[in-house]
Amino acid sequence: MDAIKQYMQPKWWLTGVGGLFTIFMLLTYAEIMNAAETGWGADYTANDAFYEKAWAATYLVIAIICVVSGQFVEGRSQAILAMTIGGGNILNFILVFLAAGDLEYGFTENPANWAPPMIMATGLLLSGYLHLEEE
Amino acid sequence: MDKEMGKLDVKSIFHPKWWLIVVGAIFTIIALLTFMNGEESAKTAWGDDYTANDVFYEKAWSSNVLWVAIIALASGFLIEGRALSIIAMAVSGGFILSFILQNLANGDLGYGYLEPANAAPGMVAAAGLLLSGYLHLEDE
Repeated sequence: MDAIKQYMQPKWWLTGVGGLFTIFMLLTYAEIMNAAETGWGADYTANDAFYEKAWAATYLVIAIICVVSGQFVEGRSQAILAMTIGGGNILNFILVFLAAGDLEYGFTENPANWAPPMIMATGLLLSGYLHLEEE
Repeated sequence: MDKEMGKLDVKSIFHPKWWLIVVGAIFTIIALLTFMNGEESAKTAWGDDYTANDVFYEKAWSSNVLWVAIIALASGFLIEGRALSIIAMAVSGGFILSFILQNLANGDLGYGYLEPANAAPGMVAAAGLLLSGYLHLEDE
């Protein structure tokens, strides 16, 4: 159990997940990664491209909160934040799936796109839970 | 002495705990309403000729706003001291940056929610949160 706790430090999970989210969101926003094309294929619209960039900008808020929580918050407060962010990510994922319905949106249809963020969310949730009793 | 009292009043009004809870609660309600009424949101954003994709994005985007609102609520209720101030500043600073990026992405598409009247309340909330965090940054 101690070994698991050692590897599941909320500080590093928050910093790592926040860092990865920041990179992916900046790549999406700059259209280096074409999220609209991944989502809908080559015939995406200007509105789709706008929404992908605006959505990435909102993800960037969460990425910033992750990095700041990992680097500038400690103890129980940090564990609570890791659990809240991880739990919120899972809830967000369920709602996006419900919203997508039968639209065949690329990011919800392909497990290769949604599995990594879910692993990160689970890691964050677990890291927070394991360190919840810290001072 | 009066100046000191004035400072105390401003610090009392701008307490990150209550700003995070109130802003988190308001955005939770707005996000849930947007998710449940995706068609209306898309109509407000683009007029009558909105698409099914627009409705999906309004719902998906609102679920991200809900995520940030939950972080704000949990921080307000469960975190104290300097950590609370830091989170208040991170949430609000991130929100302001996100708003700027959304405006740049919008260009001349004319997305309805970025019109000044629709965007102003969110900006006031972000400014209040930022100030509340800054004023209490030295709290234990």
